[in-house]
Amino acid sequence: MITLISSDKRKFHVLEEVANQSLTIRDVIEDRRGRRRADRIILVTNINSKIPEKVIVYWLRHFLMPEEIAHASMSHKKAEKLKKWEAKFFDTDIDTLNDLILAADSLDIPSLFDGACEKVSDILKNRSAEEVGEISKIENEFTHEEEEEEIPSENAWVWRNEFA
Amino acid sequence: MEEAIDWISSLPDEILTHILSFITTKEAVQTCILSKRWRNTWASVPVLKFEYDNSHLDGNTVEDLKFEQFVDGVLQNRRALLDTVIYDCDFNRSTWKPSMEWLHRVALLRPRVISVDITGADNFECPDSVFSCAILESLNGLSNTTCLVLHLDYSPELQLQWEKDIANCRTFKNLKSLKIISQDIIDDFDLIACFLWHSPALQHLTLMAEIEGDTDEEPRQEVCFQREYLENVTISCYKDDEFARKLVSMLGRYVKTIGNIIII
Repeated sequence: MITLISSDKRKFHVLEEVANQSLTIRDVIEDRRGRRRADRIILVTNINSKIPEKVIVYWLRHFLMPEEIAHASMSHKKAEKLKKWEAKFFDTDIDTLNDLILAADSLDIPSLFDGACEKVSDILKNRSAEEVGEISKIENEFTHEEEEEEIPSENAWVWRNEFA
Repeated sequence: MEEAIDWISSLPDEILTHILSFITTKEAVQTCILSKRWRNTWASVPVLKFEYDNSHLDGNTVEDLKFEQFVDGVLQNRRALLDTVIYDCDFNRSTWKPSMEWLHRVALLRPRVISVDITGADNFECPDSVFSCAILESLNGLSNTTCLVLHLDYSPELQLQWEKDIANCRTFKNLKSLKIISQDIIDDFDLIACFLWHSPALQHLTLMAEIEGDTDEEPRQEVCFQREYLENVTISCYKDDEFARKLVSMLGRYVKTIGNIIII
């Protein structure tokens, strides 16, 4: 059993095999192997307690079938179920997604990182050039000249190309 | 939504580019007008995903031209090496010439995976730079191709790479027809041998020698395998019959029985 401590000092006890899904934690445990029990405590100071909860939930869901996921040997039904579960898991507010991405990045949990990043990419998905332009008007620090001339001419090939 | 874009902007570069790798390249490129932060971000995204539904078109249309300009623009403005390139379009329509040029330019960016959809195509032309890309792990789609046309431009460094690459990561299990167009076919014979080895379904082999090869040079490679049968071999060269006979005898070292041999 290892203990994770979040920035707001909450403790989370997790089976080593489960926490091993974080490559960072796995390496730390490996480095400290054979030492005192106190060394099995890992501080995750850059994230608040809400995130370890979510990360552990994610770990537990994935822990049950790590081999199958890695080798894509899952049955169709199981894969569908996991997909549905993940869609629900990532259907959360932007702040949580942000924290999940940063946590997955620092703890090195590739599948969680990918999942959260893909969810965020939905914001930009299926938008035409005009729509992207609309969004940009809001927080736009380009000068008038840049907007009118430089950027359109530099990237003329982007806007000329409203293909199918 | 503004809030969301604003928030994404605050992420470090490598996370931002990772996020952009989930959307199509067209969508990613459009983010260049979001703000200064985004202006060149798209150029470092490790995945290129070109999506274009051209299956209903006959070719040479305005739409085609726009798409060509777009791909050219993307490839010209890339800032970083690539991980994955996906062409999700009817890639090798016979009227569509730029496809080979794109593959060549993409190969220079050293991707790990090149994925092309050539399901509808009856043949596929592939520049040699694709095979000489040392880092390439997977040519999705290509390993399913039934007909392959290779243009080989002579280069000694590339030559060394070919055999290793093809042997390491590619089995052309559906390849039925292979056409090799080469400046110096004797010199490229190791590659041909490799294909004979890794394409169990191969039936038709066409060798085209574009200029005269050096008939005096002896093949260097040890023969370590021999396939039972190859149905058709077509040899086309400017040289005399003796050169063609020499090619046949070289093929004979790798193939026990050849059904038909046509020399043009």
